This record gives sequence, structure tokens and C-alpha cells, in this order.
Amino acid sequence: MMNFERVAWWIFWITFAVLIAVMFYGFTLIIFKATPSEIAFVLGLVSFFILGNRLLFGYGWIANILDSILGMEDLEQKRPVIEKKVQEKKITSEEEIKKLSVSALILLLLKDLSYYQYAFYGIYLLLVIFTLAFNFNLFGDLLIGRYIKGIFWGASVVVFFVWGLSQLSHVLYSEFLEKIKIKGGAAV
Amino acid sequence: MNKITIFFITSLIAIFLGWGIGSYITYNNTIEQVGKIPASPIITLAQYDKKNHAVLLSILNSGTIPLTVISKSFVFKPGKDSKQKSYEMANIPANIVLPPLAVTIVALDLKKGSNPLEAGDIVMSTIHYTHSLSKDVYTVSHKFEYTGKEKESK
Repeated sequence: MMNFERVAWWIFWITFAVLIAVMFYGFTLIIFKATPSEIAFVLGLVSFFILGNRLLFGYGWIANILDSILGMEDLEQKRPVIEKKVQEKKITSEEEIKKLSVSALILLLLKDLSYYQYAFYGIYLLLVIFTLAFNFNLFGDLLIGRYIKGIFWGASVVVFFVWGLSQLSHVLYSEFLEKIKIKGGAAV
Repeated sequence: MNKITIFFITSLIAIFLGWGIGSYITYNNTIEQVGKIPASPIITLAQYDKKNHAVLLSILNSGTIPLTVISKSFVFKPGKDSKQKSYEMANIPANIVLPPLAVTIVALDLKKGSNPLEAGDIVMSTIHYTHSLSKDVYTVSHKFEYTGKEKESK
């Protein structure tokens, strides 16, 4: 039995290593065959993903937890998880958090993200302005304009996801408030 | 807004986003592929420069690869009014680079001492050029008939 397990593990590790090697081969092929405009696209995608990381995961987390709360009978069930998240953000003190309702706590989390959202959209707006300027040849016919356009398209993907997740979390929050109204639970 | 509205709006935006990204990458790849193909030069204008006794050819290189003119040759066929009574031929070696996407003026010097062109004279000029992608020599021929209307150039 012991021997069989060991063999199985070895087979697993060898398969895993081969898979990783093949993946690296594929990735290097993709990178070597990529045109400069494709690399510009990927650069825009990665840089805006790093920039909007907090927003993506913040809104994703809120949308996810609201979705699970809406499926539950007891609206207070997820309270400890939300409390922990608010504490991590260091928005208010622990005693204050205990006093607040679940809806107020989620509102705090949404409010906390809105500042980052403005900075994120502001940088994206600057990029859009530069892209339009290059598109209409306001700076002359420069080669860099072509790559700025690629960065713009890469950034647009991340901005699209941030926008969609923020809309979704706000909609779910309003649904959550509706549910509180129907239940008539002022404590929630 | 409810969830269904968001679903539709995000789907629409996603379609346009994919369209934009796809067309951007395809456009740039196409430009890169087309840029590697050398174009044939186009003679857009031919003028007779009376002062220097030369035919000026405006040559447009419509491609993105520079072309090199290695020689110019012409055949002169006299018209009715011409005092030059025979065919004249000449081949002049040259080394003129035609920059991409630009018009270059190439002067075709006629033989010194020969009579100036009269109306009806024909100069059949041939430009021999090469490019960096092959060792072959390509030609462009242009028939220039002097109408007598003079266009002075510098």
C-alpha cells in the first residue's frame, strides 16, 4: 500500500512537471511571436489590473457576500465575516462595529472603495484623452500613438470588469435593503 | 437598475470591447505585413526643364520600403517639327534613393549640345530600380510627349 502511494505521487509530480514545462514552452512561444501592439495591449491590461486590484477584489467580495446573504433566511448569519473585513480596513473602532447593522457595515465597505474608484477612473480618463489625441494626430504622426492605443484597449478590459462589479454590488445592496424592508427587521 | 439590465448592458459593452480589441490587433498585424511588401514606383508627373535641358520625373514611392534607382535610360523619337532627325538613345547610371511614401524628383539629362525639345517630340524613359529584399532589377517605363507648354522649374 505504501509503495503504491509513493508510485502514484511520483507519477503525479512527473506529470505536473511536464505540464509546467509545456506551459512555459507555450508562453515563451506566445511572447516571441507577439507583435509590439499585442505586447502593448498586455502591458495595459497588467498595469491597470495592478492599479484596480483593490477595486476588483473589493467589489467582487461585496457582491459575493451579498449574493450569499440574499439566499439565506437569517440575514445576520454572515455578520462575523463582514465585521472582520471592516476591522481589516481600520475604518472604525471595534466597539462601533458591534453597534452598527449589517447594512451599515456593507455601506462602509462600499464607501471605502469609492475613493479608489475615483482615482482609478481619473487615470483611465487621462489615458482616454491621450488616446483620442493620438487618434486625431494632435501630436503629429508618432509611432508611439499606436502603442498608446494598445495600452488603452488593455486598460479598457480591466475598467469594464471594475465597472460591472461595482454596478452589481450596488444593485445587490439595494436588493438587500428591499429584503430588510419586507422582513421588517430594523435590527438588521 | 436590476440584475437583468446589468446583464444586458455588460454583454453589449463586452461585445464592443472584444470588437475593438480584435480590430486593433488585426489592423496592426495587417499594417506590419503590408509594410514588408515593396511597392512599384509611380511616375505622377513629367516636365521639360528647358534651362537645364532635362526631363524632370516626379516619382512616388507608394510603399514603405525605400527603393534605389540604379540607372535611367531614354529613347528620343523626334516629332514633325524637330531638327533632330534621328533616334537618340542613352543610358545614365545613377544612385538615387526613393524614400518611402514620398515623391522624389529625378532629372533625366538629355544630351548636351542637342537641340531643345519641340512640340511633338517623344522621350520614352525607363527607370531601373532595386530594393533590399531581392537582387533583381525592376523597371518602370514612361512615355513623355512634349506638348510645347513650358513649365519652368527651379
